[in-house]
Amino acid sequence: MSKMDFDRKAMLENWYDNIIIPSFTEFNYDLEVLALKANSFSESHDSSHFKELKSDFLKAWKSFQAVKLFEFGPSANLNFRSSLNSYPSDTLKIKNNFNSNPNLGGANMLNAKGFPAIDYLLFNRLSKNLEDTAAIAYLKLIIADLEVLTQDVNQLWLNHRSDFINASGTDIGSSTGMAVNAMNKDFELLKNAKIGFPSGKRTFGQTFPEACEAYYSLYSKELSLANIEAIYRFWQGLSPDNSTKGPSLEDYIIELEVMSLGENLDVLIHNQFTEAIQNLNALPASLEQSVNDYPKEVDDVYLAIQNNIIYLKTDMPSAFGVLITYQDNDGD
Amino acid sequence: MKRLAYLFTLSGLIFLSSCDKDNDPTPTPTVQRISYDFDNVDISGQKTRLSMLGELASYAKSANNGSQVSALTLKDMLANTNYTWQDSSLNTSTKDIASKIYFLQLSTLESWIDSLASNSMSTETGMAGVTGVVSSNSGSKQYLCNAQGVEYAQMIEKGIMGALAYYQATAVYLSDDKMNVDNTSVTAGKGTSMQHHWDEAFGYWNPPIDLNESSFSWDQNSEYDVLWMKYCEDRDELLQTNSRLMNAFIKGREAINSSDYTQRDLAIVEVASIWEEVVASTAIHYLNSSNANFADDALRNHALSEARAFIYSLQFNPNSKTSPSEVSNLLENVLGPNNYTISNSQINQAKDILSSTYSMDNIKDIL
Repeated sequence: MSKMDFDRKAMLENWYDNIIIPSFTEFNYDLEVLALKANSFSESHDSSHFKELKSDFLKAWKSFQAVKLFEFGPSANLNFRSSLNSYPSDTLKIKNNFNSNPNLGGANMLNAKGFPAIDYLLFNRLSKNLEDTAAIAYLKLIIADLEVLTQDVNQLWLNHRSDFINASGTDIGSSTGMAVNAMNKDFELLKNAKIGFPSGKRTFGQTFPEACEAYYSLYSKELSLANIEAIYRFWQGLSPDNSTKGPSLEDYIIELEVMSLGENLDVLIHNQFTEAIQNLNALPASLEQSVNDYPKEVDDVYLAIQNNIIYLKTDMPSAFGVLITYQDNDGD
Repeated sequence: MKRLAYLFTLSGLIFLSSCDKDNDPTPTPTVQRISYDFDNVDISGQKTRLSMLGELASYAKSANNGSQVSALTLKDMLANTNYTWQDSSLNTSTKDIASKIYFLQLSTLESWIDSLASNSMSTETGMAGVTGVVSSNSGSKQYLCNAQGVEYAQMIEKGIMGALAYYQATAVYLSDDKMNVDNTSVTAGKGTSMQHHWDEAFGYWNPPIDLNESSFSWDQNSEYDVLWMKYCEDRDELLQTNSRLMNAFIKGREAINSSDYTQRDLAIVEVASIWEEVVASTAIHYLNSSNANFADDALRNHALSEARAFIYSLQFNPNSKTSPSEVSNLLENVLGPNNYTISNSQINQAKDILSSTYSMDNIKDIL
């Protein structure tokens, strides 16, 4: 089988129609629900509205994990991911923003907005029921900011179908080339920002649970799972609800019969994804707690992710003739 | 392609040497040579100033390690007075940078030097609103920035690249004043006045003269991998800036050698516009880098400072597609003064203006 025989265009169509657009649609919807719930809560500060708000917030954050890898093509230069999900938050900056009407577009505001800032506002143990009206106003402001950015990105993707599908080469600027880069970048962020930094991989073992993605809600494990599952589905060509499987990077590898150290590359990648997901599920506690109390188990998660990087970032792209051009970077 | 052109050159050389023997006055055949290996080329003055700039920039960047730097020392380096260069060959030189900088911008560059020196007194950790050394998220890079996130060491180095080298080449040596000069009386080692002026423009680019030879391969550890040549090489893959700029310089020198001023004038336009592409595309490259590192204060500030300095440099080409007032607009209004509070859309807007001005829309995202 030569590289010419695989129908990349069909893969791009599957990505666009069955994965990218449905993922954005779902995320967009979840955000709208979140905005509505924030409004209802601001009108009636009761515990049932607060509970609903928190649960819809976590749902939206989780569905964000399935779109954050699509930071390429039409959404390449918008800093969508870092605008929505820079952590840890600067809680002092957040509090200073309550009454200062900040310009949220500035780079210096990244760690005072987005999901991690909402996490702080809703789950911070010192202000159990979020009664401060300035804080609620700020919550609504940063949810609106999320909505605007997401609608922009969503619209750009909706207008991009033919450009996306017609860029069917493997060169820099092709859809396959950009997607392989974007997927790897997001996968490395999972390794470094979600798991590696809090568990002390960059700091000689000194741990930083407070640098976990969802430190206040203790939801980081679920978010990491949602993220890796989304990357895994994308690699397999699976739609978000697992109902449709179309042409994929996995199929492309199978067609090319790519081997790594004597084994089928597709099998190796499958096994690594499965192992990482199992290890994450097997954490005995939240990720926030586990980084201190179960270092061995967290290490297993980290290694299972790390061991996939050589397959996904080196073996796979070189079989496709795709160049990895992004720079390593830490932090979402 | 390169190999074919090389064969032509060889036959051209044979033809030339037979001309010499017969004392035949037939004009030089218009064969494109590959290397800038003309007789009587002296670019020692340019090389000296570029070496001085290299040392000045490296001293300026020592501020990133938390060292205090002295404005007086930097200005002495600029003027080549009271300063002992580490490269001892520079110590006997009578050349200096300051007198060759576009005079109306000298005070701006000196004010950046003053800012760098005063910023380097800070012992605080740099952040929005606080002058000091800022570390990247991974801890691997440190840059001294002012409270608005401007890294003056970058502004100074790249600003001088513009106000000295790019300015001298495109606005001085290739100007009518320096081109409408004697082209008959040869000074040994320097050629005619016109040849020498052309070579001096070439010297501010300072490439390895065999850059276009098929046998040439780029060495990142080499002394030529600096200043304009380095950025020209960085853009070469997408814009073929190395071969195009070298060909334009060779074309002009050959035209001067054969007194063909129509060809020379075409080459002047080519040199200036290809060099301008290097400046503009490098600015876009750093805007992309600031986007890619938007969430990292140190890396974003650094990339934006580079981008600002390259945008600033666009004004030094007299035929620039970006006027000095558009340069100010890009820096002061589009990007705004603050690298901490800058938004993504401001960065993209500056990038779009540049890519549309320079017809680089198709490559703007991969530069």
